[in-house]
Order: sequence, then C-alpha cells, then structure tokens
Amino acid sequence: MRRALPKLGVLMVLVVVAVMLRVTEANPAQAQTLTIGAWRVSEDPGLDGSAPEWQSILPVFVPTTAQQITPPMGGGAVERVGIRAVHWEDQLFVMLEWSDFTPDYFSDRSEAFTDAAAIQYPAEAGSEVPFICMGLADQAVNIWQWRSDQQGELPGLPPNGYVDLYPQTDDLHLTARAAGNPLSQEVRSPVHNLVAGGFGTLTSSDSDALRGQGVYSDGRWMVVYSRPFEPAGELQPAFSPDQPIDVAFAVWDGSRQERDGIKSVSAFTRLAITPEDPPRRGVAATGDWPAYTPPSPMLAYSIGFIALVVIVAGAVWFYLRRRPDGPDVEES
Amino acid sequence: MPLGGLPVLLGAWVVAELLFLRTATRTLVHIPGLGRFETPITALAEVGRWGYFLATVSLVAILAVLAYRGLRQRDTRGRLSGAATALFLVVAGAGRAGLLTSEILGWSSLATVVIVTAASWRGPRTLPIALFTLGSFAAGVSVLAQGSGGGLSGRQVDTLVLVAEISLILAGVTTPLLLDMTPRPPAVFAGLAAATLGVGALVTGGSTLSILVLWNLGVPGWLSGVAYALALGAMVTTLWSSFATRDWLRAIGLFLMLAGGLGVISTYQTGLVVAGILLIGMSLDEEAVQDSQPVEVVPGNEIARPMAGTSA
Repeated sequence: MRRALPKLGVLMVLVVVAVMLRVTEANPAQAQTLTIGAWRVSEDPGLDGSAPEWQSILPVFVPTTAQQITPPMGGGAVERVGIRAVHWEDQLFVMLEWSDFTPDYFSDRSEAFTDAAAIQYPAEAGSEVPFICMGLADQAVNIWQWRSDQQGELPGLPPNGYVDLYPQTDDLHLTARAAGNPLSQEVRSPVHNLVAGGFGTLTSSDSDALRGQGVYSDGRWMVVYSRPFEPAGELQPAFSPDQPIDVAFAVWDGSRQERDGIKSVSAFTRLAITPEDPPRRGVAATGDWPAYTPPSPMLAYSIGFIALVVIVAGAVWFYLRRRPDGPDVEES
Repeated sequence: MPLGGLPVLLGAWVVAELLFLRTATRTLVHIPGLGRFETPITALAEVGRWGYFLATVSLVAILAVLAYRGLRQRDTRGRLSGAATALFLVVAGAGRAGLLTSEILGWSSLATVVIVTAASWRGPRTLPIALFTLGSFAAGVSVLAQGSGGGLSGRQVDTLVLVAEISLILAGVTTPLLLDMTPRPPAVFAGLAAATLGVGALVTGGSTLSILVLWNLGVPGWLSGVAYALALGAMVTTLWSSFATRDWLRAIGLFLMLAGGLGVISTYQTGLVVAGILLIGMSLDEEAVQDSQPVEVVPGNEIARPMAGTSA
C-alpha cells in the first residue's frame, strides 16, 4: 500500500498536467517537418512557372507516394514535387513542379484522364503536432485543385478541325451546368477552390479570388496558384507572416490512369511566409528532374532489394541459431 | 531513480495516439459511407488527442528520469547519453518557446539521436538501432539540408530518402538480433503471419500501406511492399519474443522507436525515438548483468536460477 501511493501520485500528476495542457491547447511539442518558405518579391511574379523569375528560385522537394486511404486507391507515378512560394502585395503565389513525359490535356473519352495537381490547407491557418489537418472528422480543409483539361488554349487541336456544337443552351438540356457543376460552366477556371467541413461535404467555393495556370515545358508541369492573404469566403485560411500553416500536395498523371483517389500525395509540410528575399541560383540546376521516363515501378531494383533483405534475414537467423541461449549455466 | 511503470504507461498512451489519432481517424473519415458514424469517429479522434497529450507528458517525465540516470552513471557512455538527453529536453523546450530557430532545433534533435545511438552501441546486437539511426539521419538531412529555401538537388533528395527507406527495412529485418535467445516457434509464427498479411495486403492493394508508412514512419514507401512485409514480420517476431520473456523495456523501446519514425518530424516523435533507444540499451545492460551471474541448475529441473546471494 505504501509503495503504491507514490506510483499513484506520479500517475495523478501526469494526468493533471496532461489535462491542463489539453484544456488550454498548449501543445508542448514542436513541429520539425519540412518548411517551405514563401519569400517576398518586389514585382508580380506572374502565373508562368517556366519564367526565369520563378525558375531561378531554389525549390524545396517534397517526396510523394501512392494514395491508399479511400477507393479507388493507388497511384504514385510522381515520386516528388518541387515547391516554390513567394508573396507580393499581400498575395500568396505557390508553384508546383513535377516531371511528366506525357502531358494529358484532354479528358474527352471515358478512358482518358487529365493531369492535375492540388494543394491542401487546414481551413484555419495553423500548424498542429501531430499533423491533423487532413482527415479528422472535426477538421475542415481548403483545397486548390488545378486541372489541365480546364485550361483554355489547349495544344494538339487540329487547326482546321470541327467542333460539334450542342444546339440547346437551356438548363433543361445542360443539366450539369444547371446543377452548378464547376466543370460545366461557360466561364471556367483551371483552378478550383474546394472546401470541406466534414464527411461528404467537399464542395466548390464561389470565390474567384483564386487564380492559377499550368505550363508544360521540358518534360515538366509547372503550375502556379495565387490568392490574396485574406480569404474571400468561409473555411478558407487567412495567410499571415506570423503563422506558419500546414500544407499537403497531390498530383495526378492522367496517362498513368491516375484520377480521383489514384494519385501521388505528400506528407504534411509547413508553409511559412517570410519577409526575406528568395534564395536564387544563377543557372538552372541539373539533377532536379530525370532526363528520361523512369522504368515503372523500379521492378528489377525491387527484386534485387528483396533478395538482399532475404539474405540479411537469413544471416540474422543463422547468427541467432549459433548463439547459445540464456545465461551461462553452472552445474551444481 | 527507478522508472517504475512509466515505460508501460508511455507505451499505452502512444498506442492510443498512434492508432486513434495518427491512423484510424485519418483513414476512416475518407471511406465512403462512414459518414453516419461521424460522432463515434470524432469521439475516437478525441481519445487519440488525449492519448497524445498524456503520451507527451509521460515522455517528458521518462526522458528526464533517463537523463538523470545517465548523468549519475560512472561510465562515459552513460554520462554521454544522459547529457544528450538532458540537452534535448532543454532544446525542445526552448524551441517550443520560440527561443531557437527550427534549423538549430532540427540539427540538435538529429545529433541527439546519433549520440544516444552511439552511447547505446553494444556490438552487432545493436545493429538494428544503428541502421534505424542511419535511416533517421538520412531522412533528417533530406529535410534540414533543404531548409525553407531549397538547397539540395532532386537527385540528392531522392538518394537520401532511398537510403532512409533501405535502412529502415534493414533495421526491421535485423531486429531479432536484439533478442537474447533464438525466437521460439510462437513468435516465429506470429512474425510469419504478420509478413503474410503484409504481402497479402500488397497483392490485393498494389501499393498498400505506403501512405501510412509515410505518415507514421516519415518515408514515402517507394520500395517494394514485400520488403516492408518481411521487415514487419521480423519486428513482430522480436516484439512477441520480448513480451513472452517479459522483457518489457526491450519491447516498449522497440515500439517507441517505430512510433517515433525516421527523420525530424516533431520534437515529440524525436523524443519517442530517443526514449526507445535508451530503454533498449537499459534492457541490454540488465541482461548483461543477469548473464554475468552464475546460476545453478537443479538436477531434473530445466529452469536455471541465479545462485543464492547473487541476485542484483
């Protein structure tokens, strides 16, 4: 009984401290994950990610992996995304760049899928440990999605080709437009501002403050998103130099049959708005992106590695079998 | 200063945090049709949050005790790990208070893990810890060397992440080296079952579990799922054996390392790794003390016991 009391006392102290921290939301841990700087620039950086002003900024590389949360699952065709971020006159610009040797501009057949990219923020700016901005039932999110098939001036159309016109223009026949489907509107944007406040609530926001554009060049997509610091609607974060914000990224490669949940996603990182100038490089770096389409999905490499793992496992087993068990025994 | 039941308590809170907060609720909320279970899932998330806060407080307590014990030891190894742990607590606190930059905090965390690993080295048996730390170092450098404004090429980042993944898998496969005996058949069967389940998930789901590996362990799961399944099997065998022989410190230490993950994710997860490594080191030290004592075998009785008057 006497020994049990101190133990109970220690347990009580731990619980009381934890309760106090939980109630006051005072998280004693500090995030140490990848932080992407959003640097100050003195001129409008524009939405062309291939421009020298963008390309001279050093990117932060974020590894991505297959999405495996909700059916349809899979993806992972893109292994990393290069991120650059700047701010100009209280507007945030974020650029995603990734390697893709087969640009997909059209989703005009049921088996054709578009390239796309998305950025996700918590609805309220902040950085939590552990990262809970995505997927918790009580955490709303704001998603910026860009789709290549929603951009005007699509390449690849025959110059003298014909486009069928749909004669009816009323809501009775254009039901998707009438229902408010953002992909069916006459005036469309390549970026969609989506908000979700819980289960099954993902919807398009009316806000048109979000702008974006994708550029394809040298086997890479470069997509720039821009939005003022102050949000135009609910469930969208306000950006501030004083408050880093959690952020995650996703990319779809249409020609690899990626769509919906089949995509490449990143872990959570942080975006920090800083008053400093961006770190730049004089010339384009080599080695940022592969110069060829990587073999899918490193099959021979994986087989060799599995063989190595099996050999190591065997060696461990052999070592354990040879080692005498237990303590030295002294016959009495 | 005895640890008492602190490691068990910490292990229990971390299980709650890992299962409910980091994994289950983040997964369940995306599954179509589960919207009608929103209230229980929200409650589950709250349980996970409580687990997280309790785990954080218990972690600080256990690290403080481990630092104190280390500093009081007479050998350099113990003092080194004690000093590194104490410094980590100070740095993590200062980082939280905004007194240190994230770069200093990150590199200090990485240095703590490396120093504690070096101080816990006990020959080939601690190879899995060294491999885990190598992976942690590579993953951490891929983050810290980029800073907030880049600085590594894409190929360099790929290489570091790949080294981290390979090290993690090899650390998993070699975890049975931590045991003081050949695993018994039940432990081997449990490991085989876990590996088979892992391979089954791979076959049915393509790149199964890679997102959970990314979220929970800090690596993107680029390598074959079969290798991950084999590593999982070896780890389950080790955990089962440790629990079967009532070697709680080793089992909890290994679990804490895994829950901490690779690289620098948060001071909480780095603290879990440090505590895990130190607990495994303590377990190996206790085993060495027991092994150094002569034992007697009662004829006709297979169980060896320490000779009278020689118990620690």
